[in-house]
Amino acid sequence: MAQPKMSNTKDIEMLSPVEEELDFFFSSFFGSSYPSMYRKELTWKPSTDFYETEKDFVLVMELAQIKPEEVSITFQDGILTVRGIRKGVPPSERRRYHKMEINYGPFEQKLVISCEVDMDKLSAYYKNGFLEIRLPKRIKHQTNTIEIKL
Amino acid sequence: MNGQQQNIMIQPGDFSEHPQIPPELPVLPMTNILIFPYVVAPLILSDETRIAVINEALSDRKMVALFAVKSKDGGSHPDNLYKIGTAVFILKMFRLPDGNMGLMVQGLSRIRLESVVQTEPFIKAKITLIHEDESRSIKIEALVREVTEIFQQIVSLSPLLPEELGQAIGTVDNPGRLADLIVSNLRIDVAERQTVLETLDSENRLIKLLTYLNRELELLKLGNKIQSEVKSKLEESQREYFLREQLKAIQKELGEKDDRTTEMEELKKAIEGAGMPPEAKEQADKELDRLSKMPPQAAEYTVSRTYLDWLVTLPWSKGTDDQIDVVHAKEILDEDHYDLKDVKDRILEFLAVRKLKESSKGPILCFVGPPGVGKTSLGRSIARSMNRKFVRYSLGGMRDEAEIRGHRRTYIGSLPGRILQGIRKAGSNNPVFMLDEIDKVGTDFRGDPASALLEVLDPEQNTAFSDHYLEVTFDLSKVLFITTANVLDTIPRPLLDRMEVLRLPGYIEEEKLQISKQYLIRRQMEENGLKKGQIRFTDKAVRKIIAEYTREAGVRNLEREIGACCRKVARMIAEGKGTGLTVEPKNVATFLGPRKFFSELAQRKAEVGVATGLAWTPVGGEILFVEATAMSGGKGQMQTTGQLGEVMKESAQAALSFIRSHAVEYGISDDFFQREDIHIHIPEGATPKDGPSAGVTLATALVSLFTGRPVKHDIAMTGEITLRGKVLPVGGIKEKVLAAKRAGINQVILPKLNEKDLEEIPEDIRKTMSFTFVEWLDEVFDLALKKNGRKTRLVKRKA
Repeated sequence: MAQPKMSNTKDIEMLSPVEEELDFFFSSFFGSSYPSMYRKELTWKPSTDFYETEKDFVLVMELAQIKPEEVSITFQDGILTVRGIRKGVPPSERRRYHKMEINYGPFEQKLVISCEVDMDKLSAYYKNGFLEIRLPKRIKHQTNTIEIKL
Repeated sequence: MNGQQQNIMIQPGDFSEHPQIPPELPVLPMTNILIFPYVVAPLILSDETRIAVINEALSDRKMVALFAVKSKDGGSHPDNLYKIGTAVFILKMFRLPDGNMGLMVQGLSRIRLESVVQTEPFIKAKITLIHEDESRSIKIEALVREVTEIFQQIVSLSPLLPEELGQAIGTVDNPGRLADLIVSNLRIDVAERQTVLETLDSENRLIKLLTYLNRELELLKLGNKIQSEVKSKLEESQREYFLREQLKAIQKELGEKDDRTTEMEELKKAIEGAGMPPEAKEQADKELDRLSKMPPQAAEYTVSRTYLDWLVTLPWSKGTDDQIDVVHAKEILDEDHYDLKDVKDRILEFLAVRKLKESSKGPILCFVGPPGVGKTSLGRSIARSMNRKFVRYSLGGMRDEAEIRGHRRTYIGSLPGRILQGIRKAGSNNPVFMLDEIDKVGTDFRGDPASALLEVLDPEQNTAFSDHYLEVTFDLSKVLFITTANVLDTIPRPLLDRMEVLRLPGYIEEEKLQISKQYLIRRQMEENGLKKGQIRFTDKAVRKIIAEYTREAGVRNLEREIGACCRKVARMIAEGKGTGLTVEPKNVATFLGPRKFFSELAQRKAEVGVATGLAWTPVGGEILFVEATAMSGGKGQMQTTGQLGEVMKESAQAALSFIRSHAVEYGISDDFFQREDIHIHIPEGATPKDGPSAGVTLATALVSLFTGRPVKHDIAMTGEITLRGKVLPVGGIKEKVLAAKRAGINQVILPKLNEKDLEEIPEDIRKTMSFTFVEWLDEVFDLALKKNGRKTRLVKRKA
């Protein structure tokens, strides 16, 4: 059996690399000279895995405490956009933070996918705080093979 | 929903949420930092009040109002805050290990501080949002392009800004926000940032930004230029170092050695071969060790190197073999010098002793005599006769002790003294070392060279002569030191004590004639390119030159006059006016001009009050005339003129006293000394004279004056007198007699005790002259004064 056909890495591009760079800087060089970054909206980026199998591209996002109806997934012009919101609970008592790194509010993750995908067969589900999105690759049929459905 | 799969509707939707900025916010005053809207940046807080502000904000909406303080000294008082700032959202917070608070914040909107609600424990203020003018125009568009381009350049030049930032600004579509983002990333001070923050319309904000950008770009370009220059220099020197190391490695591989190693090895070999005594060898080894550890660039290096050079080049054990053949040596001495029998004998004796006992300590010879008698050339002849090297060094006018003993090595440009320099020049440790003009060594604050010479010239001490520069001792005992002097008086006693004095008196006419015939004429002919037969001197002509054109003890001027004749003949031959010539008495004047000297005697007649004395000078003997005269109307006082020294004045006093005390015997009236003043003058007035030997002459002149008996003009005299009228012996008899002979005086009165000195005078001279030896002054007067005279004059006066 042939190796599963994988995409070239250049076919897939994560958007906003600056912001990820920023997190890297933030963790390692905090306090030293550090560039100020621009963010259009007050959005955050959930931790994301993105991989492919023989048939599908798979996007997994760590998104606890969201409501499925508050997530939107669109695929347009080769860009897969996942948006949503995690609503923070307004504090009911006075707090004193010692660490604060959980993001609340609107989030957004964008991916550029230049391979052909079958948007119609896109599926998504949310389980145990993970959002998983599957995009089946569009397979080009050989002319001399006919798939017979039984 | 936990653990349960939930399907997600795949649908578009907008969940973006614009945070509501409340009208009251805790105020975070910042000294150096401004956050612009839509800009994410880190903040670090250490101040307790500020941390309290953040804690308050995190308990609420995670928002603070950030205002910059105007002046650092003013603290966080509300009056010290700019009125326009930014509402800031806190994205993340954590504590740093040092207790400071780290924040990641995002600017939300420009705000205006309206009124302060509370100041304790932190400031809380009422604020209003500022709505920015977001209109666009072509001009703004142009500014955006310009600003973007310059910022791209800055990003590419600055090491602090990541390349991605350049791309990121491309995605900012709002001109005002572009300006905000770029300002956030520029290194400009807070006041300038604040002006950008306070500029609300995009166009002006971009224009302001452009100035800062241009300045930053220039700064960066300059910085990069400086850095690249420094770097290229650094690289160059590193490259050179690297290549040198490689070269060394290659040389090592090839079995070659680098210059340094070769140099050290050569020096080592030289030290081994120098034949140094153990003490010096040890010093040299130590110095070589030091040198090999020194970098060649060190200032000490050359000093050390020069020192080692000196150590190895000194002839520690290298000497010439003496070839002492007394007979041969005599031939050489005779060949080079006429007569000087005593001196030659002494030299030959010294050579003979040296031959029999090789280790005998050499005497230090000192040749004393007038200039031009051949002292220096005699030294040369001695070296030649012993087959030794000859070194000559003139001490005349030397005042610095360091000239003899050298400077210590700590001084820049220090060298060993002249003694060791001479030894090195000779290249042997037993040269004939001539120290000329030892009587003219000076002394001043720099030390006394004569004292330093004591060590050099003492055979007991100079086996271990220590030079300041060398630091180790050098054996001078094999050196034959010869010194020369014109007079002995100025030589310090201890120094004179160490030397064996050999006098070279002046020459008399006969000797000069012989010297001329045997040496001078030949030498001058050679020097002027004349061949044998082209010039001849008759004896009479030479005598005429000696008598009428020179007056000296030596033969230097005589040689010069002979040289003048030779030159003139050479010119004549060169001009083709003749092929040769004989110099005769009658044509001497055509060569040398009119005669320069006259015999004093020729001008003199027997006179009253004038006596002829004899004097000794460093340049030979002289005759001198003592003139005395009396002036009536005085009180018997005596004055003396003619630069007479103390001793001479005193002997004039003594003479006068003697005469006064014996006035009756000489027929001088008693009251003569009450009536008359006496004046004694000795020409030439400008020449200082001193010494006791004119006593006889002074007394004779005075008696002649008082008695009116003239002094015979063809008699010369010398001798010291006592108050009892005794005549004491004096020195320099030979010179004085020769001077008398030169002056044409054939009769000389000498002290009886000097009779023995007559032997010094060549016999042929002695034969032509008559000498009378006297013991008492009376004998002198009898001999020198004429009997008749004008005695009557005084008698008449008396009457």
